[in-house]
Amino acid sequence: MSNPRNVIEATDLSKRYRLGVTDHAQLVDGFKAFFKGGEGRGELAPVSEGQRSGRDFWALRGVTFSVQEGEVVGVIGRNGAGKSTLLKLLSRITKPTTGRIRMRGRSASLLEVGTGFHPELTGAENIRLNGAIMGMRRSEIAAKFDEIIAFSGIEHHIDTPIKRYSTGMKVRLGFAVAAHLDPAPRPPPGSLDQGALQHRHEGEIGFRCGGAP
Amino acid sequence: MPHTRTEHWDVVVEATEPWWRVDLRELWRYRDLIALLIRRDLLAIYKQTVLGPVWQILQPLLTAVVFAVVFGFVGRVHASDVPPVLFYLAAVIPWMFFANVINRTSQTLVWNAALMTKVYFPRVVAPIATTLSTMVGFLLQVVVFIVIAFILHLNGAFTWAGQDHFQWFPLLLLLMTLLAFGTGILVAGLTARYRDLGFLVGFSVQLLMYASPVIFPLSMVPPGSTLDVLIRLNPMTGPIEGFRAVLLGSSFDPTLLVHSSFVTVGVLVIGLVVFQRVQRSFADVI
Repeated sequence: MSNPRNVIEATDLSKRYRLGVTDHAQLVDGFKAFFKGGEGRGELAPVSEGQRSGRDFWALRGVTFSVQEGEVVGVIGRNGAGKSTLLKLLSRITKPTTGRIRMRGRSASLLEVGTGFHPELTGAENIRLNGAIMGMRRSEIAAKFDEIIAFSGIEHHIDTPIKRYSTGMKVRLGFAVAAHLDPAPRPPPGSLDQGALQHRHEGEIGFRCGGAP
Repeated sequence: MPHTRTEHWDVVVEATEPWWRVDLRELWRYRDLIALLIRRDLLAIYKQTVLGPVWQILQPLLTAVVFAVVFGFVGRVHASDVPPVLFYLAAVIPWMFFANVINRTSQTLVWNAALMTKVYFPRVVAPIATTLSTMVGFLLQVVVFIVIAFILHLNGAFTWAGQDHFQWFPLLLLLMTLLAFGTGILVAGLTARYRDLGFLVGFSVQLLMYASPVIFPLSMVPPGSTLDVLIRLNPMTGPIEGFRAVLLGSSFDPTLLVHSSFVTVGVLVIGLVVFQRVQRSFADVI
């Protein structure tokens, strides 16, 4: 027997952001928190609710869910509902204010195609760099290199610095790398504001957070 | 049948994690990314330049020439029978490496902000790659120094002083690299939210050079004077004296490195702790 098991478990996830600009008032708060033994610099300290609620913004609060092997999960919500924040937590770009995430297997997130493209480098150099940034091993990239170039459809310009590329060419190159990631998140359809997190372990599990197109 | 499978999770993210956790195994998995970031740095810097990597050599060389003119000929500072340009170059090369590593690693988070807010990788990967790509330039400069010294030797303008300190080279390089890296990530951690300190650092490193034996040999400083105390407090004094001794074959007092070693370990540990503490929420404040 093989029970479908959970590959993502999120428990009581919350994310709090600070409103306003970074200035000396925040520095003062930061110091107070630091000496109170809070989390200190770089993150908000757990100060009493009433004191802060005016300037804090909870992007997520008490989110608990699990995703089983083989499931494809979509998260739908209005602008500002916290879809991207959830994706950022799952992809470890930022840490939760409370709660815990547990994952099995390897995950790759795609908040934006062409992340880390360097304008001075050629298309070929950027394929290698972008692949590594997305978590591919050098050997994996090498194995799929020709495929990626063919997929992008810009063979003739692959040795040109990408600052000379049109916007469309850059996007195509980014999509081509993303489409060959293992685990391969399908590039989000339509709007590039959408994000996708693909998670794979044995079978294929997709987790996607899509913004309103 | 009860679920008996042992709980194994590949990734566990907690709201609070101990600050001392540096995941070396994870870092090792990202070695390809480190290699590619080094490559990116080296390839990208000299794109659209005619001279390319020659600039790596020209910068310290021109600085050494200026020092030789200002301090050597005008100020009559330089010592012994070593050609002034060679004397200054032997210290300018390691000093520039030190200053560049601090300046670049302390900016690495801001420079890579676009990356850090879009994808996860151990954040320390970025300053490590920056440090190593700067080291490539340093090693190139050392090779060029040896070539120049050899040419001057053939001309009879430079005589090798004869003391062989080559065995110190790896330790000197390690000390200097870790000191600069530690200082750089400390500043990077502290400036993630408040960038004020960044302005102070570049300036301070420049000033620190005057409290080091880059411009004058330690032997010229009156023992016990304020300058002498300041210079001996500077953790770069040992490595600079050491590199000059290695490159010129002059005499060198290895006990100078004891103080440097202690400061290096201290700065590195503090730097790692601060960086670790801040790194998980960089994306929010950068």
